[in-house]
Amino acid sequence: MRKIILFVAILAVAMAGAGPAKANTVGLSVSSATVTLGTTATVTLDITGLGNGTALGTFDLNVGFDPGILGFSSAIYGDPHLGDQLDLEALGALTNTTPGVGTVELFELSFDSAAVLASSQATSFTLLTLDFNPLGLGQSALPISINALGDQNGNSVNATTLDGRVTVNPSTVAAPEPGTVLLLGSGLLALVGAARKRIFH
Amino acid sequence: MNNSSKVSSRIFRAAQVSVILMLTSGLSLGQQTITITSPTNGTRVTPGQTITIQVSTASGASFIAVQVVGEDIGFAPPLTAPPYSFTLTVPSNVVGPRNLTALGITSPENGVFSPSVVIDSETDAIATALHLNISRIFFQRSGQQMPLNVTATFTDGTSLDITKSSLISYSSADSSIATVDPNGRVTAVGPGVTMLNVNYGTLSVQLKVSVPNSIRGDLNGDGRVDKDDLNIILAALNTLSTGPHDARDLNGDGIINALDARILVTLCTSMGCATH
Repeated sequence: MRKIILFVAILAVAMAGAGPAKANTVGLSVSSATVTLGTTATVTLDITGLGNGTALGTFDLNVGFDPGILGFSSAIYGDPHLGDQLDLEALGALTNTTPGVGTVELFELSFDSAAVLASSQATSFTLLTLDFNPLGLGQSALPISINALGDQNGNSVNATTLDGRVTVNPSTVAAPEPGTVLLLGSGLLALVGAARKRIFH
Repeated sequence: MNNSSKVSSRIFRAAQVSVILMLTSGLSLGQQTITITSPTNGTRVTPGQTITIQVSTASGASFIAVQVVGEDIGFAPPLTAPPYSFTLTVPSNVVGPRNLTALGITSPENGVFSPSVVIDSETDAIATALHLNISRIFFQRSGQQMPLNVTATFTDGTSLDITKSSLISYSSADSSIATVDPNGRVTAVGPGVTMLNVNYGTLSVQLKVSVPNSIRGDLNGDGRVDKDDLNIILAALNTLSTGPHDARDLNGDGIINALDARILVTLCTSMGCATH
């Protein structure tokens, strides 16, 4: 038994050592939001883990949603604070948003030089901000699927994904109707009357 | 199986082995003392038709067996004595000229081939539509080749591969950019964009061919890599490449996607891929 464990351990070490150089793995995530009907659900699509010679040159992603709960409204590309990190040279990155039923395809292509992207792009930033209109109550997952994710030279970048979600709650606590108020008021009056009877008799 | 069937089966197998051996090893083939007398060169047949092949041998020639081989048609069972009359059925999907060759086997590893006779298998049905296997060709460089495959739909509802039909014609609007041979093989000759025309009966279909300059990423062959080339990739985003020759698939991974678009940006000959 010990020999087997030793053999497996040696094999694992050998395989780890013999494997190709580990590629940079970045993280893609969609934030979550809780909203009420009649408002707008705003979430961000973020990337982390760039650097070490890897910058983002292009992305082509799909974000899914429950069309019974959410309707796609808009996508604004770029980080709200850092600006568009795929347009550092102000050459105007190419963006394209293609909404479908229960999904939206989000595409951006940088025209910046590979050198500028590699040297000046932030290592973590917001790719874009998504707005959804709540259509129904409940929770909608926002899963990410990757069509392509490329570095500054067009090489494929490995990524892990973290899906977001939007929870849609009723707008507010419902205001009682006039009839209900009248009923409540008469009930209260009866209670007050009963209390007074007990006190004075 | 009776004894005569067993003998016939053995001779057939031996003949097939001999044919394969001679075809693959090029073992000794004697002078042509065997001839197909019928059908004659250029005989028109129809797909699915059974044809009779008559073979004559020179006087004094001695053969263990005589056999006939039809290109894309198959072998006829060997005959050990004259008259050498064979039947072969042209498969219903074979269209175009095909060779018939007779083989006289003199010993297990020796034999003689007859001169080939070409028969032409063409359907009498009227074609109603032509289809190409590809809608556009983007070559990566001059010298590359790409086979076309042309299918016709006929009034009787059948569909046949007519790429090699003798009734089909291929032409190029500019042979300095691309040529196409009678078998539908397209060859990139020089930079530019041209149209190929395929005609069959009264029908025709066109195909655009692009041959880039030697500049990688110059998909429209104008000598520059710019947004016009990028738009060619974007128009095919997330689709499969048409093959290893497809110049749009810049990383050669079999799919045209954002990675190819970004590679093209790195190849652009002006800042921001601006068009001139």
